[in-house]
Amino acid sequence: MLVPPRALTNRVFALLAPGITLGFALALLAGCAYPERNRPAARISDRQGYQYHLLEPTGLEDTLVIVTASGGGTRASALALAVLKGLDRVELAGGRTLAQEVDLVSSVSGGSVTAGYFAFAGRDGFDALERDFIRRDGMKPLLWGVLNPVGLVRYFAVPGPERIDLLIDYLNQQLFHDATFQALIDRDTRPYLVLNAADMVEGVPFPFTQRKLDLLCSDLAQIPLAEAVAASAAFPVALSPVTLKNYSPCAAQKQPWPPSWVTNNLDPDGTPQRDGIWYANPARATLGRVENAYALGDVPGRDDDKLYVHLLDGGIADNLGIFEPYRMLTTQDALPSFLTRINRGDIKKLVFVAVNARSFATSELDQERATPGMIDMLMASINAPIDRATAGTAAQLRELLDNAFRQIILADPGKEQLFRDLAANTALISIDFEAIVDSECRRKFHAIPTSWALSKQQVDAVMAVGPALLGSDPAFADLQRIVGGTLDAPLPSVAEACRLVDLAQQ
Amino acid sequence: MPTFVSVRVIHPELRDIYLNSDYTISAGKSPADTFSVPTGRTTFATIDDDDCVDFEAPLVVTSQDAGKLLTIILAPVIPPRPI
Repeated sequence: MLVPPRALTNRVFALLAPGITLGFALALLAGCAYPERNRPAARISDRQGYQYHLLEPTGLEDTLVIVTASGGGTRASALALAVLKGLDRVELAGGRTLAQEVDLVSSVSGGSVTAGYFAFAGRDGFDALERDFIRRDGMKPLLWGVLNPVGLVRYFAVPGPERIDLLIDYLNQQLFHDATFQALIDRDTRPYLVLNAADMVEGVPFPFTQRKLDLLCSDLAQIPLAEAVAASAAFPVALSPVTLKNYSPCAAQKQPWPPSWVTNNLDPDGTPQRDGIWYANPARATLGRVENAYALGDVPGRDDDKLYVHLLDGGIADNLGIFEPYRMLTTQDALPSFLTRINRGDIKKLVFVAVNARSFATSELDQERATPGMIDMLMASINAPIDRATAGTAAQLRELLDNAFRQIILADPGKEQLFRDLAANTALISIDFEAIVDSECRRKFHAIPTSWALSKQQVDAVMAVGPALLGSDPAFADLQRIVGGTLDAPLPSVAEACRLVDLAQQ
Repeated sequence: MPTFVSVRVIHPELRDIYLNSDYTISAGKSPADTFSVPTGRTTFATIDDDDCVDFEAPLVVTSQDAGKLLTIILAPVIPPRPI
Protein backbone atom coordinates (compact mmCIF):
# COMPACT_ATOMS: atom_id res chain seq x y z
CA MET A 1 0.00 0.00 0.00
CA LEU A 2 1.32 3.43 -0.89
CA VAL A 3 1.49 5.70 2.12
CA PRO A 4 0.79 9.39 1.53
CA PRO A 5 3.83 11.50 2.40
CA ARG A 6 2.10 13.44 5.19
CA ALA A 7 0.81 10.26 6.79
CA LEU A 8 4.28 8.76 6.49
CA THR A 9 5.76 11.83 8.13
CA ASN A 10 3.30 11.55 10.99
CA ARG A 11 4.07 7.88 11.49
CA VAL A 12 7.83 8.51 11.47
CA PHE A 13 7.40 11.35 13.93
CA ALA A 14 5.23 9.21 16.19
CA LEU A 15 7.96 6.57 16.10
CA LEU A 16 10.76 8.98 16.81
CA ALA A 17 9.07 11.31 19.28
CA PRO A 18 9.96 9.37 22.44
CA GLY A 19 13.58 9.19 21.34
CA ILE A 20 13.69 12.86 20.50
CA THR A 21 12.20 13.81 23.84
CA LEU A 22 14.55 11.52 25.75
CA GLY A 23 17.46 12.73 23.69
CA PHE A 24 16.87 16.38 24.43
CA ALA A 25 16.35 15.60 28.08
CA LEU A 26 19.68 13.77 28.26
CA ALA A 27 21.39 16.51 26.31
CA LEU A 28 20.27 19.06 28.88
CA LEU A 29 21.45 16.89 31.74
CA ALA A 30 24.81 15.97 30.30
CA GLY A 31 27.90 18.09 29.94
CA CYS A 32 30.03 18.45 26.81
CA ALA A 33 32.29 15.43 26.64
CA TYR A 34 33.64 14.43 23.25
CA PRO A 35 35.28 11.23 22.14
CA GLU A 36 39.05 11.10 22.34
CA ARG A 37 40.15 10.12 18.84
CA ASN A 38 43.92 10.19 19.22
CA ARG A 39 46.41 9.53 21.99
CA PRO A 40 49.61 11.38 22.89
CA ALA A 41 52.94 10.01 21.69
CA ALA A 42 55.37 8.73 24.30
CA ARG A 43 58.29 9.06 21.86
CA ILE A 44 58.82 10.79 18.55
CA SER A 45 61.28 9.23 16.18
CA ASP A 46 61.45 8.49 12.47
CA ARG A 47 62.88 5.11 13.46
CA GLN A 48 59.68 3.73 14.92
CA GLY A 49 55.99 3.62 14.19
CA TYR A 50 54.21 3.40 10.86
CA GLN A 51 56.90 4.55 8.43
CA TYR A 52 57.48 3.74 4.78
CA HIS A 53 61.15 2.92 5.21
CA LEU A 54 60.48 0.48 8.05
CA LEU A 55 58.15 -1.71 5.99
CA GLU A 56 59.53 -4.68 4.09
CA PRO A 57 60.26 -3.56 0.50
CA THR A 58 58.48 -5.14 -2.42
CA GLY A 59 60.28 -7.29 -4.97
CA LEU A 60 60.65 -4.60 -7.67
CA GLU A 61 63.39 -2.70 -5.88
CA ASP A 62 64.11 -0.04 -8.49
CA THR A 63 60.45 0.48 -9.43
CA LEU A 64 58.12 2.75 -7.51
CA VAL A 65 54.48 1.73 -7.88
CA ILE A 66 51.91 4.26 -6.66
CA VAL A 67 48.12 3.87 -6.75
CA THR A 68 45.80 6.73 -5.83
CA ALA A 69 42.07 6.31 -5.26
CA SER A 70 39.57 9.16 -5.45
CA GLY A 71 36.37 9.86 -3.59
CA GLY A 72 32.87 9.02 -4.80
CA GLY A 73 31.19 6.72 -2.23
CA THR A 74 30.81 3.04 -3.07
CA ARG A 75 31.35 3.84 -6.77
CA ALA A 76 34.88 4.95 -5.85
CA SER A 77 35.49 1.99 -3.52
CA ALA A 78 34.41 -0.40 -6.27
CA LEU A 79 36.44 1.26 -9.02
CA ALA A 80 39.59 1.25 -6.87
CA LEU A 81 39.07 -2.43 -6.05
CA ALA A 82 38.41 -3.23 -9.71
CA VAL A 83 41.70 -1.58 -10.73
CA LEU A 84 43.64 -3.36 -7.98
CA LYS A 85 42.14 -6.63 -9.20
CA GLY A 86 43.28 -5.66 -12.70
CA LEU A 87 46.82 -5.07 -11.40
CA ASP A 88 46.59 -8.45 -9.73
CA ARG A 89 46.15 -9.97 -13.17
CA VAL A 90 49.56 -8.66 -14.26
CA GLU A 91 51.89 -11.53 -13.50
CA LEU A 92 55.56 -10.89 -12.81
CA ALA A 93 58.63 -13.05 -12.76
CA GLY A 94 58.78 -15.12 -9.60
CA GLY A 95 55.05 -15.74 -9.44
CA ARG A 96 54.07 -12.43 -7.86
CA THR A 97 51.56 -9.99 -9.28
CA LEU A 98 51.72 -6.22 -9.75
CA ALA A 99 49.12 -5.74 -7.00
CA GLN A 100 51.64 -7.24 -4.59
CA GLU A 101 54.25 -4.73 -5.73
CA VAL A 102 52.31 -1.59 -4.93
CA ASP A 103 54.57 0.58 -2.76
CA LEU A 104 52.18 3.37 -1.88
CA VAL A 105 48.43 3.72 -1.90
CA SER A 106 47.02 7.19 -1.28
CA SER A 107 43.31 7.81 -1.12
CA VAL A 108 40.34 9.98 -0.38
CA SER A 109 36.83 9.28 0.88
CA GLY A 110 35.21 6.26 -0.81
CA GLY A 111 38.58 5.27 -2.25
CA SER A 112 39.95 5.16 1.29
CA VAL A 113 37.76 2.19 2.20
CA THR A 114 39.47 0.12 -0.49
CA ALA A 115 42.94 1.60 0.09
CA GLY A 116 42.69 1.03 3.84
CA TYR A 117 41.50 -2.54 3.49
CA PHE A 118 44.09 -3.29 0.82
CA ALA A 119 46.88 -2.13 3.15
CA PHE A 120 45.27 -4.11 5.99
CA ALA A 121 44.55 -7.41 4.24
CA GLY A 122 46.40 -7.30 0.90
CA ARG A 123 45.11 -9.07 -2.17
CA ASP A 124 43.72 -11.82 0.07
CA GLY A 125 41.13 -9.30 1.23
CA PHE A 126 39.69 -8.52 -2.21
CA ASP A 127 36.75 -10.92 -1.89
CA ALA A 128 35.86 -9.87 1.65
CA LEU A 129 35.94 -6.20 0.68
CA GLU A 130 33.61 -6.79 -2.24
CA ARG A 131 31.26 -9.07 -0.30
CA ASP A 132 31.14 -7.25 3.05
CA PHE A 133 31.24 -3.64 1.92
CA ILE A 134 30.93 -2.90 -1.77
CA ARG A 135 27.99 -5.22 -2.44
CA ARG A 136 26.17 -4.33 0.77
CA ASP A 137 23.72 -1.54 1.28
CA GLY A 138 25.65 0.75 3.55
CA MET A 139 22.95 3.39 3.67
CA LYS A 140 20.44 1.30 5.63
CA PRO A 141 22.65 0.71 8.67
CA LEU A 142 23.87 4.31 8.53
CA LEU A 143 20.36 5.74 8.38
CA TRP A 144 18.72 3.24 10.70
CA GLY A 145 21.60 3.68 13.12
CA VAL A 146 20.42 7.21 13.72
CA LEU A 147 16.72 7.17 12.79
CA ASN A 148 15.56 5.11 15.70
CA PRO A 149 14.97 6.17 19.29
CA VAL A 150 18.17 4.58 20.58
CA GLY A 151 20.19 6.04 17.71
CA LEU A 152 18.77 9.51 18.27
CA VAL A 153 19.80 9.39 21.88
CA ARG A 154 23.19 7.90 21.09
CA TYR A 155 24.27 10.16 18.26
CA PHE A 156 22.50 13.43 18.90
CA ALA A 157 22.02 13.69 22.61
CA VAL A 158 24.39 11.69 24.74
CA PRO A 159 27.79 13.35 24.70
CA GLY A 160 30.36 10.94 23.34
CA PRO A 161 29.42 9.38 20.03
CA GLU A 162 29.08 11.76 17.10
CA ARG A 163 27.43 11.28 13.70
CA ILE A 164 30.77 10.18 12.25
CA ASP A 165 30.67 7.25 14.68
CA LEU A 166 27.91 5.74 12.54
CA LEU A 167 30.40 5.33 9.73
CA ILE A 168 33.25 4.32 12.05
CA ASP A 169 31.07 1.65 13.66
CA TYR A 170 29.91 0.36 10.28
CA LEU A 171 33.46 0.18 8.90
CA ASN A 172 34.63 -1.64 12.02
CA GLN A 173 31.73 -4.05 11.89
CA GLN A 174 32.17 -4.88 8.22
CA LEU A 175 35.92 -4.62 7.64
CA PHE A 176 38.41 -3.41 10.19
CA HIS A 177 37.20 -4.98 13.47
CA ASP A 178 38.81 -2.25 15.62
CA ALA A 179 42.26 -2.68 14.04
CA THR A 180 44.58 0.31 14.38
CA PHE A 181 47.57 1.41 12.31
CA GLN A 182 49.55 -0.92 14.61
CA ALA A 183 48.09 -3.77 12.53
CA LEU A 184 49.86 -2.33 9.47
CA ILE A 185 53.13 -2.10 11.41
CA ASP A 186 52.71 -5.72 12.46
CA ARG A 187 51.89 -6.76 8.89
CA ASP A 188 55.25 -5.27 7.90
CA THR A 189 54.71 -5.11 4.18
CA ARG A 190 53.88 -2.50 1.60
CA PRO A 191 51.78 -0.82 0.34
CA TYR A 192 52.37 2.10 2.63
CA LEU A 193 48.96 3.62 3.29
CA VAL A 194 48.21 7.34 3.15
CA LEU A 195 44.59 8.14 4.00
CA ASN A 196 43.82 11.76 3.20
CA ALA A 197 41.29 13.90 5.05
CA ALA A 198 41.09 17.69 4.92
CA ASP A 199 41.57 20.24 7.69
CA MET A 200 38.15 21.91 7.46
CA VAL A 201 39.44 25.19 8.90
CA GLU A 202 42.56 25.51 6.77
CA GLY A 203 41.21 23.79 3.65
CA VAL A 204 44.44 21.82 3.16
CA PRO A 205 44.95 18.07 2.90
CA PHE A 206 45.62 16.19 6.12
CA PRO A 207 47.28 12.86 5.36
CA PHE A 208 47.32 10.34 8.22
CA THR A 209 51.09 9.88 8.36
CA GLN A 210 53.25 9.64 11.46
CA ARG A 211 55.23 12.69 10.32
CA LYS A 212 52.00 14.72 10.32
CA LEU A 213 50.90 13.23 13.65
CA ASP A 214 54.32 14.09 15.12
CA LEU A 215 53.32 17.73 14.80
CA LEU A 216 50.33 17.01 17.05
CA CYS A 217 52.56 14.93 19.36
CA SER A 218 50.30 11.99 18.70
CA ASP A 219 50.80 8.32 17.95
CA LEU A 220 49.43 7.13 14.61
CA ALA A 221 49.83 3.48 15.62
CA GLN A 222 47.01 3.84 18.14
CA ILE A 223 44.50 5.39 15.74
CA PRO A 224 41.84 2.95 14.50
CA LEU A 225 41.92 2.42 10.74
CA ALA A 226 38.15 2.84 10.59
CA GLU A 227 38.48 6.26 12.22
CA ALA A 228 41.04 7.48 9.67
CA VAL A 229 39.01 6.08 6.76
CA ALA A 230 35.89 7.75 8.15
CA ALA A 231 37.73 11.07 8.55
CA SER A 232 38.78 10.80 4.91
CA ALA A 233 35.13 10.17 3.97
CA ALA A 234 33.35 12.53 6.39
CA PHE A 235 31.09 14.19 3.85
CA PRO A 236 30.33 17.69 5.13
CA VAL A 237 27.03 18.25 6.98
CA ALA A 238 25.82 14.65 6.61
CA LEU A 239 28.62 13.45 8.86
CA SER A 240 30.40 15.27 11.65
CA PRO A 241 34.14 15.87 11.47
CA VAL A 242 36.71 13.66 13.14
CA THR A 243 38.42 15.90 15.66
CA LEU A 244 42.01 15.23 16.68
CA LYS A 245 43.44 16.73 19.84
CA ASN A 246 46.71 18.60 19.45
CA TYR A 247 49.00 17.52 22.32
CA SER A 248 51.79 19.83 21.16
CA PRO A 249 54.01 21.04 22.69
CA CYS A 250 55.10 17.92 24.55
CA ALA A 251 58.19 16.44 26.16
CA ALA A 252 58.61 13.85 23.40
CA GLN A 253 59.38 16.51 20.79
CA LYS A 254 63.06 17.13 20.17
CA GLN A 255 64.83 20.42 19.69
CA PRO A 256 64.75 22.34 17.50
CA TRP A 257 60.98 22.45 17.52
CA PRO A 258 59.16 22.96 15.16
CA PRO A 259 61.42 20.78 13.01
CA SER A 260 63.34 22.26 10.11
CA TRP A 261 61.13 20.59 7.49
CA VAL A 262 58.33 22.82 8.82
CA THR A 263 60.18 26.07 9.55
CA ASN A 264 61.99 25.82 6.23
CA ASN A 265 58.71 26.74 4.57
CA LEU A 266 58.19 29.94 6.56
CA ASP A 267 59.44 33.35 5.56
CA PRO A 268 61.08 35.26 8.41
CA ASP A 269 59.36 38.59 9.08
CA GLY A 270 60.55 41.29 6.73
CA THR A 271 61.50 38.96 3.89
CA PRO A 272 61.04 40.90 0.63
CA GLN A 273 58.21 39.35 -1.34
CA ARG A 274 60.46 38.63 -4.29
CA ASP A 275 62.80 36.56 -2.08
CA GLY A 276 59.99 34.88 -0.19
CA ILE A 277 59.06 31.21 -0.18
CA TRP A 278 55.44 32.13 -0.75
CA TYR A 279 56.41 33.91 -3.97
CA ALA A 280 58.62 31.05 -5.16
CA ASN A 281 56.58 28.08 -4.01
CA PRO A 282 53.10 28.93 -2.68
CA ALA A 283 52.16 25.30 -2.02
CA ARG A 284 55.12 24.81 0.34
CA ALA A 285 54.51 28.14 2.04
CA THR A 286 50.80 27.47 2.64
CA LEU A 287 51.45 24.06 4.14
CA GLY A 288 54.36 25.44 6.14
CA ARG A 289 52.15 27.97 7.87
CA VAL A 290 49.54 25.35 8.77
CA GLU A 291 52.08 22.75 9.87
CA ASN A 292 53.86 25.35 11.99
CA ALA A 293 50.58 26.09 13.74
CA TYR A 294 50.08 22.36 14.41
CA ALA A 295 53.60 22.08 15.77
CA LEU A 296 53.31 25.09 18.08
CA GLY A 297 49.96 23.92 19.45
CA ASP A 298 49.19 25.62 22.70
CA VAL A 299 51.33 28.77 22.94
CA PRO A 300 50.84 30.88 26.08
CA GLY A 301 49.79 34.42 25.29
CA ARG A 302 48.42 33.70 21.82
CA ASP A 303 44.78 33.56 20.88
CA ASP A 304 45.17 31.65 17.61
CA ASP A 305 46.31 28.37 19.11
CA LYS A 306 45.51 25.22 17.21
CA LEU A 307 44.35 23.00 20.02
CA TYR A 308 42.22 20.74 17.83
CA VAL A 309 42.20 19.72 14.16
CA HIS A 310 38.76 19.12 12.68
CA LEU A 311 38.92 16.72 9.75
CA LEU A 312 36.38 16.31 6.97
CA ASP A 313 36.23 14.50 3.63
CA GLY A 314 39.62 14.78 1.96
CA GLY A 315 37.89 15.61 -1.30
CA ILE A 316 37.50 19.19 -0.12
CA ALA A 317 41.22 19.71 -0.62
CA ASP A 318 42.27 16.97 -3.08
CA ASN A 319 39.68 14.54 -4.38
CA LEU A 320 42.21 12.29 -6.12
CA GLY A 321 44.58 11.70 -3.22
CA ILE A 322 47.55 12.75 -5.33
CA PHE A 323 48.70 15.75 -3.28
CA GLU A 324 50.86 13.79 -0.82
CA PRO A 325 52.43 11.44 -3.42
CA TYR A 326 53.25 14.50 -5.55
CA ARG A 327 54.81 16.15 -2.49
CA MET A 328 56.89 13.02 -1.93
CA LEU A 329 58.01 13.05 -5.58
CA THR A 330 58.97 16.71 -5.77
CA THR A 331 60.15 17.82 -2.30
CA GLN A 332 62.15 16.68 0.70
CA ASP A 333 59.38 17.83 3.07
CA ALA A 334 57.46 14.56 3.19
CA LEU A 335 58.57 11.24 4.60
CA PRO A 336 59.44 9.31 2.50
CA SER A 337 60.95 11.70 -0.03
CA PHE A 338 60.87 9.89 -3.35
CA LEU A 339 62.77 12.83 -4.86
CA THR A 340 65.74 11.91 -2.65
CA ARG A 341 65.47 8.28 -3.74
CA ILE A 342 65.28 9.26 -7.42
CA ASN A 343 68.30 11.51 -6.96
CA ARG A 344 70.23 8.62 -5.40
CA GLY A 345 69.35 6.44 -8.36
CA ASP A 346 67.38 4.03 -6.14
CA ILE A 347 64.18 4.61 -8.12
CA LYS A 348 64.68 4.10 -11.83
CA LYS A 349 61.12 3.30 -12.89
CA LEU A 350 57.79 4.81 -11.92
CA VAL A 351 54.28 3.40 -12.30
CA PHE A 352 51.55 5.80 -11.19
CA VAL A 353 47.94 4.66 -11.43
CA ALA A 354 45.42 7.39 -10.61
CA VAL A 355 41.89 6.05 -10.13
CA ASN A 356 39.31 8.77 -10.57
CA ALA A 357 35.66 7.85 -9.94
CA ARG A 358 34.53 11.41 -10.59
CA SER A 359 30.80 11.91 -10.85
CA PHE A 360 29.21 13.97 -13.57
CA ALA A 361 25.56 13.26 -12.94
CA THR A 362 23.10 15.51 -14.72
CA SER A 363 21.09 17.70 -12.42
CA GLU A 364 17.36 18.23 -12.53
CA LEU A 365 18.05 21.80 -11.48
CA ASP A 366 19.03 22.58 -15.05
CA GLN A 367 15.57 21.57 -16.27
CA GLU A 368 13.62 23.76 -13.85
CA ARG A 369 13.04 27.49 -13.66
CA ALA A 370 12.49 27.29 -9.90
CA THR A 371 15.14 28.91 -7.73
CA PRO A 372 17.24 26.15 -6.13
CA GLY A 373 16.47 25.64 -2.45
CA MET A 374 18.88 25.77 0.47
CA ILE A 375 19.69 22.07 0.38
CA ASP A 376 20.39 22.22 -3.36
CA MET A 377 22.64 25.22 -2.88
CA LEU A 378 24.43 23.58 0.03
CA MET A 379 25.06 20.37 -1.91
CA ALA A 380 26.22 22.31 -4.98
CA SER A 381 28.63 24.35 -2.90
CA ILE A 382 30.15 21.15 -1.52
CA ASN A 383 30.10 19.02 -4.65
CA ALA A 384 31.23 21.56 -7.24
CA PRO A 385 34.70 22.17 -5.82
CA ILE A 386 35.21 18.46 -5.15
CA ASP A 387 34.37 17.47 -8.73
CA ARG A 388 36.19 20.38 -10.29
CA ALA A 389 39.33 19.57 -8.28
CA THR A 390 39.59 16.18 -9.97
CA ALA A 391 38.94 17.07 -13.60
CA GLY A 392 42.02 16.60 -15.72
CA THR A 393 44.21 16.04 -12.69
CA ALA A 394 46.09 13.15 -14.22
CA ALA A 395 47.09 15.38 -17.12
CA GLN A 396 48.13 18.05 -14.64
CA LEU A 397 50.15 15.49 -12.72
CA ARG A 398 51.93 14.43 -15.90
CA GLU A 399 52.68 18.05 -16.72
CA LEU A 400 53.88 18.79 -13.20
CA LEU A 401 56.22 15.82 -13.12
CA ASP A 402 57.50 16.52 -16.62
CA ASN A 403 58.13 20.12 -15.66
CA ALA A 404 59.78 19.25 -12.35
CA PHE A 405 62.08 16.66 -13.90
CA ARG A 406 62.94 18.95 -16.84
CA GLN A 407 63.97 21.69 -14.43
CA ILE A 408 66.12 19.33 -12.42
CA ILE A 409 67.95 18.41 -15.63
CA LEU A 410 68.30 22.10 -16.43
CA ALA A 411 69.80 22.77 -13.00
CA ASP A 412 72.19 19.86 -13.16
CA PRO A 413 73.09 18.50 -16.59
CA GLY A 414 74.88 15.66 -14.78
CA LYS A 415 71.45 14.31 -13.83
CA GLU A 416 70.18 14.36 -17.40
CA GLN A 417 70.63 10.68 -18.10
CA LEU A 418 69.11 9.70 -14.75
CA PHE A 419 65.92 11.67 -15.36
CA ARG A 420 65.70 10.86 -19.07
CA ASP A 421 65.86 7.15 -18.16
CA LEU A 422 63.21 7.71 -15.52
CA ALA A 423 60.98 9.51 -18.03
CA ALA A 424 61.40 6.61 -20.48
CA ASN A 425 60.42 4.21 -17.73
CA THR A 426 57.42 6.02 -16.34
CA ALA A 427 53.85 4.84 -16.90
CA LEU A 428 51.19 7.27 -15.73
CA ILE A 429 47.78 5.65 -16.03
CA SER A 430 44.58 7.53 -15.45
CA ILE A 431 41.47 5.46 -14.76
CA ASP A 432 38.58 7.81 -15.44
CA PHE A 433 35.08 7.33 -16.87
CA GLU A 434 36.03 10.26 -19.09
CA ALA A 435 38.24 7.84 -21.05
CA ILE A 436 35.21 5.86 -22.27
CA VAL A 437 34.90 6.69 -25.95
CA ASP A 438 31.18 5.83 -26.30
CA SER A 439 29.42 8.97 -25.05
CA GLU A 440 26.20 7.18 -24.04
CA CYS A 441 28.11 4.58 -22.07
CA ARG A 442 30.24 7.31 -20.49
CA ARG A 443 27.11 9.22 -19.48
CA LYS A 444 25.66 6.12 -17.81
CA PHE A 445 28.81 5.55 -15.75
CA HIS A 446 28.86 9.21 -14.77
CA ALA A 447 25.25 8.87 -13.67
CA ILE A 448 26.01 6.16 -11.10
CA PRO A 449 25.28 8.03 -7.87
CA THR A 450 27.63 8.91 -5.04
CA SER A 451 26.19 6.77 -2.28
CA TRP A 452 27.08 3.99 0.13
CA ALA A 453 24.59 1.73 -1.65
CA LEU A 454 24.75 0.66 -5.29
CA SER A 455 22.65 -1.95 -7.05
CA LYS A 456 24.19 -5.30 -7.97
CA GLN A 457 24.16 -4.28 -11.65
CA GLN A 458 25.88 -0.98 -10.93
CA VAL A 459 28.62 -2.72 -8.98
CA ASP A 460 28.99 -5.33 -11.75
CA ALA A 461 29.45 -2.55 -14.30
CA VAL A 462 32.02 -0.65 -12.22
CA MET A 463 33.92 -3.86 -11.43
CA ALA A 464 34.16 -4.54 -15.17
CA VAL A 465 35.06 -1.05 -16.31
CA GLY A 466 38.01 -0.73 -13.91
CA PRO A 467 40.22 -3.40 -15.48
CA ALA A 468 38.83 -2.49 -18.92
CA LEU A 469 40.03 1.11 -18.59
CA LEU A 470 43.34 -0.13 -17.17
CA GLY A 471 43.92 -2.40 -20.16
CA SER A 472 42.82 0.19 -22.71
CA ASP A 473 44.98 3.01 -21.34
CA PRO A 474 47.66 4.00 -23.86
CA ALA A 475 50.30 3.67 -21.12
CA PHE A 476 49.31 0.09 -20.17
CA ALA A 477 51.77 -1.42 -22.64
CA ASP A 478 54.51 0.75 -21.09
CA LEU A 479 53.46 -0.48 -17.67
CA GLN A 480 53.84 -4.11 -18.74
CA ARG A 481 57.22 -3.40 -20.31
CA ILE A 482 58.48 -1.49 -17.26
CA VAL A 483 57.57 -4.18 -14.73
CA GLY A 484 58.16 -7.10 -17.08
CA GLY A 485 54.60 -8.28 -16.57
CA THR A 486 52.19 -10.33 -18.64
CA LEU A 487 48.46 -10.83 -18.38
CA ASP A 488 47.18 -14.23 -17.30
CA ALA A 489 44.17 -13.67 -19.60
CA PRO A 490 42.80 -10.68 -21.49
CA LEU A 491 41.21 -7.99 -19.33
CA PRO A 492 37.52 -7.21 -19.92
CA SER A 493 36.82 -4.82 -22.78
CA VAL A 494 35.18 -1.43 -22.36
CA ALA A 495 32.39 -2.69 -24.63
CA GLU A 496 31.62 -5.48 -22.14
CA ALA A 497 31.51 -2.95 -19.32
CA CYS A 498 29.15 -0.79 -21.38
CA ARG A 499 26.79 -3.74 -21.82
CA LEU A 500 26.75 -4.17 -18.04
CA VAL A 501 26.04 -0.51 -17.38
CA ASP A 502 23.13 -0.79 -19.82
CA LEU A 503 21.69 -3.52 -17.59
CA ALA A 504 22.19 -1.31 -14.55
CA GLN A 505 20.11 1.43 -16.18
CA GLN A 506 17.18 -0.85 -16.94
CA MET B 1 54.93 26.34 -10.28
CA PRO B 2 57.92 25.26 -8.17
CA THR B 3 61.36 25.38 -9.73
CA PHE B 4 64.46 23.43 -8.84
CA VAL B 5 68.15 24.00 -8.31
CA SER B 6 71.05 21.64 -7.82
CA VAL B 7 73.24 21.95 -4.75
CA ARG B 8 76.71 20.62 -4.01
CA VAL B 9 77.98 20.47 -0.40
CA ILE B 10 81.67 21.29 -0.42
CA HIS B 11 82.32 21.12 3.34
CA PRO B 12 82.59 18.85 5.28
CA GLU B 13 83.95 16.43 2.69
CA LEU B 14 83.24 12.74 2.28
CA ARG B 15 80.18 12.75 4.50
CA ASP B 16 76.63 11.48 4.05
CA ILE B 17 74.24 14.38 3.54
CA TYR B 18 70.72 14.45 5.00
CA LEU B 19 68.03 16.85 3.85
CA ASN B 20 65.23 18.50 5.82
CA SER B 21 65.67 16.39 8.96
CA ASP B 22 65.06 13.14 7.08
CA TYR B 23 67.73 11.04 8.76
CA THR B 24 66.25 7.78 7.51
CA ILE B 25 68.17 7.88 4.25
CA SER B 26 71.28 9.70 3.08
CA ALA B 27 70.61 11.87 0.06
CA GLY B 28 74.19 11.36 -1.16
CA LYS B 29 77.78 12.18 -0.34
CA SER B 30 79.74 15.41 -0.20
CA PRO B 31 81.27 16.80 -2.33
CA ALA B 32 80.77 14.31 -5.15
CA ASP B 33 76.99 14.26 -5.35
CA THR B 34 74.56 17.01 -6.26
CA PHE B 35 71.15 17.37 -4.67
CA SER B 36 68.05 18.57 -6.52
CA VAL B 37 65.90 20.74 -4.26
CA PRO B 38 62.81 22.83 -4.94
CA THR B 39 62.54 26.56 -4.40
CA GLY B 40 62.13 27.51 -0.78
CA ARG B 41 64.42 26.62 2.10
CA THR B 42 66.19 23.27 2.54
CA THR B 43 68.35 22.20 5.47
CA PHE B 44 71.50 20.20 4.75
CA ALA B 45 73.07 18.22 7.58
CA THR B 46 75.55 15.49 8.48
CA ILE B 47 75.31 13.13 11.43
CA ASP B 48 78.18 11.62 13.41
CA ASP B 49 78.67 8.07 14.71
CA ASP B 50 76.57 8.88 17.77
CA ASP B 51 73.56 9.84 15.66
CA CYS B 52 74.05 13.52 16.41
CA VAL B 53 73.83 16.36 13.88
CA ASP B 54 77.39 17.73 13.72
CA PHE B 55 77.22 19.98 10.64
CA GLU B 56 74.22 21.84 9.33
CA ALA B 57 73.14 24.80 7.18
CA PRO B 58 69.94 26.03 5.60
CA LEU B 59 69.89 27.16 2.00
CA VAL B 60 67.26 29.53 0.69
CA VAL B 61 66.50 29.11 -2.99
CA THR B 62 64.47 31.77 -4.74
CA SER B 63 62.86 31.63 -8.16
CA GLN B 64 65.79 33.68 -9.52
CA ASP B 65 68.09 30.75 -8.75
CA ALA B 66 66.09 28.33 -10.90
CA GLY B 67 68.22 26.11 -13.08
CA LYS B 68 71.48 26.97 -11.24
CA LEU B 69 74.05 24.75 -9.58
CA LEU B 70 74.76 26.21 -6.12
CA THR B 71 77.37 25.28 -3.54
CA ILE B 72 77.04 25.33 0.24
CA ILE B 73 79.35 25.00 3.24
CA LEU B 74 77.84 23.46 6.37
CA ALA B 75 78.56 25.01 9.77
CA PRO B 76 79.57 22.90 12.77
CA VAL B 77 76.85 22.29 15.37
CA ILE B 78 78.38 22.73 18.82
CA PRO B 79 77.67 20.63 20.72
CA PRO B 80 76.35 18.05 18.24
CA ARG B 81 72.57 17.65 18.59
CA PRO B 82 70.85 14.26 18.88
CA ILE B 83 68.59 13.51 15.94
